[in-house]
Amino acid sequence: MTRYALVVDLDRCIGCQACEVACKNENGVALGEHWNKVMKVGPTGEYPKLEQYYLPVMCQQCKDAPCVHVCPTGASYRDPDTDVVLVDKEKCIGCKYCMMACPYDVRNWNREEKVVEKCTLCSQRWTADGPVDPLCVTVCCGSARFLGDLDDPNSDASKALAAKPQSVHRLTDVGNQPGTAYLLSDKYATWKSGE
Amino acid sequence: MEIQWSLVLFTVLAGAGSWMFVGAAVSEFTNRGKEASFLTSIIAIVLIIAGGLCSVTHLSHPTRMLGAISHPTSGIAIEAFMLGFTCLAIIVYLVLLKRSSSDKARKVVAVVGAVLGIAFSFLMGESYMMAARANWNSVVVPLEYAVTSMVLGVSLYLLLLACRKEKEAVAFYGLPLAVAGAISLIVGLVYGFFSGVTAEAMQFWGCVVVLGTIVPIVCGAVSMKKADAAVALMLCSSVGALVGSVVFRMLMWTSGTGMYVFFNALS
Repeated sequence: MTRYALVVDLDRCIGCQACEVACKNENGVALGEHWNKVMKVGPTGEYPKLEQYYLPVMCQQCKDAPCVHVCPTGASYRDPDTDVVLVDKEKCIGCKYCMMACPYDVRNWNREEKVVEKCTLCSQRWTADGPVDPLCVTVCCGSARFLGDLDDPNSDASKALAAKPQSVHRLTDVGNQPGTAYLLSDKYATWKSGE
Repeated sequence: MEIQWSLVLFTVLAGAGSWMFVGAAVSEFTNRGKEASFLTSIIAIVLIIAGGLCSVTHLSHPTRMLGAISHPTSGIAIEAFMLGFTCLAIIVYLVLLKRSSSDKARKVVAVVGAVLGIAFSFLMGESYMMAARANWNSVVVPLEYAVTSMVLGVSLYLLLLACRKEKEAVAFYGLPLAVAGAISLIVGLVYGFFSGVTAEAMQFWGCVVVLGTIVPIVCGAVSMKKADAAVALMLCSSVGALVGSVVFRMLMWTSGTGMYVFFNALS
């Protein structure tokens, strides 16, 4: 099985939002809309022991994706070749149930086309030879983002996870098994974004 | 989350219509209010279709809805199918009524339509059971959808009977209305404490509990003794149940916040 997802090393993320800008440019995401967004978590604690980290959020590529289950027309689907969760905008009726069912509020309502969209891992850039890094990975000046097959130990994503096994975190799992992983070391900040 | 008015109206109207037909089905067995069955069924089907049309206004591309055939297990697809099956059963019942068919056939179709309608009113709420929204993710939510529809549908049915001056039938069904109100009161309280909306004093306690359940209980109980005031009582019960049904759904939407608010796309 292949299971493509992003791994984001928060120890290296400086919150520059270049990934957000690159995503918008590559995918034509309108002003005020997002497929990828950098959240600021903190500052927390009491002076002088203050903590803060940046949390880039996007589709978490859930293994048991609720958006796919609730979609009445199959517009939200899992690509049979790559296993990536995608949206077929031609099938979307705009009911927004997938947005309600997404535990992470990372689906976008395209106000112009009146359909739901989300991060595609820039799969439109992929070639017959395999995946190509999404623009958000390419432009990240901190080299904090990694795309890869989580089931392939030799992928960039798997290597990043293996390098910091004690620092791996995920957003709260309510049975959907999010694929996206975050790396945050205790020496920088305590993870506060769910279990 | 923002209130989705299309869906509020859909579930209120379609739920009320489904339960009005339950009244017609029951009359097949009690022989009380049976003369009103045709009109009841017509109003029921009009309410269900009006509800369905309201739900379509929620969609930005309704012409693509036929795609539901490719994914029939989703909540919306099941609702659409249930709406169609319930309407179909009511239409068959109307045809049987017009053709003065055998009692047995009519009773069977009435029961099928009633069961479909009851299931439909439950399934309209079941679609909202999502792990992503903790205060929606309980069976008490679809139960509350069903029982608020029950009280409103029964109240409207009895209002129709009262307007037709079938006082004896209204007095007979007063007890079932009071019982329906009591069941709705219990489920409503469980929902309120489960979802935390009890803090909304005016909306929850005033509208959902008092107007939506206590008023129908009182009206049902009083109508058993005061048949002359049937129209006024059932009008009060219907208005109270309508307000309770609408406000419960409003509360469900406004309290339905997710675990994370990142894109804030549903606000």
